Amino acid sequence: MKKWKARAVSDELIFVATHEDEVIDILDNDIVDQQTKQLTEAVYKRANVDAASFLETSIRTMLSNIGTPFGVAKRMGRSDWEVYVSLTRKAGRSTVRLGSIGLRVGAYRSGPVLLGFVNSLGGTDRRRRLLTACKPKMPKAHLTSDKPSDYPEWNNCLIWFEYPLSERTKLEDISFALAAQTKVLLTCLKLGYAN
Amino acid sequence: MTDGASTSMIRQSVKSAPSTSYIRALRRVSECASPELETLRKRWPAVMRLLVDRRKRLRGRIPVGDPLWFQTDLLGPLARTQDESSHSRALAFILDPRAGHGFGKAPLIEMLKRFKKRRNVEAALQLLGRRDCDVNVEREYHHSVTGAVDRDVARNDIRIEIKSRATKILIILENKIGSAEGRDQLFWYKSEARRWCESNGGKAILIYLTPARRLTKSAAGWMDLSYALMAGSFRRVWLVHRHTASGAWLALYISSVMKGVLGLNPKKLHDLAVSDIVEYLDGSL
Repeated sequence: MKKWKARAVSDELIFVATHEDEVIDILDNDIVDQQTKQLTEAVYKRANVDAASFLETSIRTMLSNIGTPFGVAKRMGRSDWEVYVSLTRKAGRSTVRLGSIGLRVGAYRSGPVLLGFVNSLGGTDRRRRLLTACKPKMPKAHLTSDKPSDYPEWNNCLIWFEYPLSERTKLEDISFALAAQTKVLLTCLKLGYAN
Repeated sequence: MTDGASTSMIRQSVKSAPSTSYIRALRRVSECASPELETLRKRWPAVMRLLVDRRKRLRGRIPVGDPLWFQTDLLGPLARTQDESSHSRALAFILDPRAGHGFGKAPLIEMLKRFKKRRNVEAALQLLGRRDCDVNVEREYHHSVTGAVDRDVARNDIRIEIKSRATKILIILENKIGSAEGRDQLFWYKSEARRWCESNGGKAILIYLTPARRLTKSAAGWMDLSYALMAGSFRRVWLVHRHTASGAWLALYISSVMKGVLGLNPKKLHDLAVSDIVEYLDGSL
């Protein structure tokens, strides 16, 4: 029998991510009839549950590929469709906090995407140096501050992973790509933080 | 082979290899959209027509020359649009009556008016209306924290003390754009405000400023303020001072908030979030 690959995300998540502005407008205002508002609420709730579970699975995949000299805090931070964790590095006997690393589901430019980000401490200069270290192996890596219209409400982060989400996206495929890219990122971060 | 053994083998084979039809059915069930989504999808074209119509009407309400129509803004060219620290600096400048912009207490009064009928706000508005009241605005105010495991110092983004001979009010404004609040951060700020109230016999107002109103579980006692609502209250000040240099500066900052932080663009209809525009224009639907 042909191997069945599970879907990465539900129809509800894709729908809400695609029509994010409209859904928020409907939920926050009395623009549409009550029944449509209730339907939107139900779809939004299901999308939220799905986003949380998808991000949880994805960040576990990412974390399982983070090894020495880097480490992560046990405690995870979560906000709307985003999950992140503190990134640390061994420096002799002590451990230095570098910033946070995380994943976020959002709708940017062409549609819903899973984004991997590093919010590094050390200001713009440090982020630029990290980007320079990442560019040779990750040409698509960029800083959110370079494309402010694509990332309103974002801190200045390094975007190192971008995977488009659709009804046809398979969890196995995305996990494979995420694991591979995490390893590449860590190789680049070693260089970036060594400078 | 005994009958018992063959039954066991059949059971094992059933466990290891479910039928193709079962897998297909399972896949269909797990992958199908919910009935709510199916119904919503059917209604969506009509919903979109309604939304587009509402956005067009709202766009029509934005007057010519409003900061929302500006081609440029204050923080965009400096690549500081999402920088919390830059916004805190700008806010501290606008809210400080002694900063030399000539707006007086108007930005602070307009901001507080958005919370009318809320605890201590009426008292603050009355106090600001008095001649003998003194307003002191501080940015990045450091204070010590006791009893915390992971910190001994906390830092308020903006701290405003309003004083007269008889009344004292403290306003703490916590500004968040991209990041979530730190562990127990709001709790420590609230504790500091309580301590200040006890030693000064005053009242406290705690404001949590974010792009989209998002009070968290730890934010009990805080009032949420969206950037759109805040820009709307500054817009009222700008309407009075629009022909002054400070007014021009304020308009550029408002443009930074609405376009940079909130991503609104009246030229693109789909980039015009109804909630934000309504809050900005301070009108009702």
